[in-house]
Amino acid sequence: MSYRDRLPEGCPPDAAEEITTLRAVFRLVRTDPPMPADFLSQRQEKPGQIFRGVTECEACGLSVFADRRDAEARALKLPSLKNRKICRITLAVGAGRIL
Amino acid sequence: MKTIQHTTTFFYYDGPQVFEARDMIGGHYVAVMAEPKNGHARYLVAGVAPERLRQFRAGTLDLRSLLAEAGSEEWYLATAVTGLDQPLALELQTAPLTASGLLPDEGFLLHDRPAEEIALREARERNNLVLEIAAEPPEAAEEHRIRVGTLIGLLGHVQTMIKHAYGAALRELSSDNRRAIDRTDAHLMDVVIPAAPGSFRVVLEAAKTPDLLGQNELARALQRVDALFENAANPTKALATVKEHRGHLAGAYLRLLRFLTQHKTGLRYSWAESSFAKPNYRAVSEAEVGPLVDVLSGVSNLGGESLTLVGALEKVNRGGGTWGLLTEEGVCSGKVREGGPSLDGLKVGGRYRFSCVEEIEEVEGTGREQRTLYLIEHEPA
Repeated sequence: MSYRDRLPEGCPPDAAEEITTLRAVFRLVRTDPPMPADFLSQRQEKPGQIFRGVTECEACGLSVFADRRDAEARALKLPSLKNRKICRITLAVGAGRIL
Repeated sequence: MKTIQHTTTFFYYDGPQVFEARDMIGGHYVAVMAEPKNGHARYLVAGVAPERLRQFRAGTLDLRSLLAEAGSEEWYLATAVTGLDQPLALELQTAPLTASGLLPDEGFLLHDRPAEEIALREARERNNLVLEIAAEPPEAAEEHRIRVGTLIGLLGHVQTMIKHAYGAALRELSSDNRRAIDRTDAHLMDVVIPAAPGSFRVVLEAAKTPDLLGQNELARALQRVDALFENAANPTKALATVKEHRGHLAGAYLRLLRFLTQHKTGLRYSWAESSFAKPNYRAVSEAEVGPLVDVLSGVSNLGGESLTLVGALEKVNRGGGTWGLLTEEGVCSGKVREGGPSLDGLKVGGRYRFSCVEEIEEVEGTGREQRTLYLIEHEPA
């Protein structure tokens, strides 16, 4: 499978599950409607940054919630995320892998 | 200036949002991401009491209460300019934390419901994979007691089985992923509660800390162990499963079962990671162990693992049936079983491909393993 960005060797890891059926996930976005900037990985947002403490594979990934309630019960209570909006995304078959 | 070092991530979303840190003298801190400053991640940091931190980890104390309470005395801001594996310099703040607008909203709990089971509770409080094992040998019937040899043997056999399960799990990964994680012979688990209340129970914690997503590589091993114990009450089904895991893992499982038979005890265990809703639980009773051992003992070579070695023949003793092959990993020595292939015609210095079976036997009473390579077939390489 090819990905939008160049990923490090061994990324995504074997444990990551391939999207083989339509699947809904939830991401926190800044604007409504969401913009492409809402779907940038840490690596894309800061190409030159060294993400120590975070693997390069994790820096190239996007965080999503499998359950909307997790976003509401935790993420939206945090100071850096509380102004975000919840965006429901339907991942199509072949969209990539999810851990 | 005071500095702290990131130790554990509690909540990850496009980067560590909430994490634990320690200062140079072991003091505990909790940090929560605030709005970035000049493009760098910025964190609100407060020193926390170990007991309050334990409650937060267990999911019984919310993040705002933890920080507000701790930050009423002192609180800090820290900017992660170079990343979280470097110490973070703390800037002491003088304004009241509650008026800063940086506190999280009320109700951020790490877990939705409290853990009743010991394995899950400990996994959450330690933020790591935890395994609880319980045995009921005869001496534990009347009081909280277990013979030293039984305890040592039990821990040794369990640890060995997990080691081989881990090795088997790693062999299924791609080489890139395998290289990135821990080695099979690494130290895997520590006893953290040597005698938990109840029947004789021991709690072990993974020696390695989990990744940022709270997952520990050892979970792969315990999932395999779960598969072996899945059908303990049904020897026919169990046999089919154990055959699927033929090799050192199956051998270690059989040795553990024989040990349980000798010491007249069953075994219960449960394990959990901090993100689990409930622990995984498996058990084999004393009554089930005997039939299982009988069935599994009827399979030859259950614990043998096939291996191919390529290298130069360094030594050969035709009379004694022993040999040594110099491979890229060093010299591998082995034997030929009675009725095995002849060593005649092999020349010292010649390159050969040896197909072998590696078997492991326990050195009686020590818990140590002795590996032996048996030659099955040889050909010039």
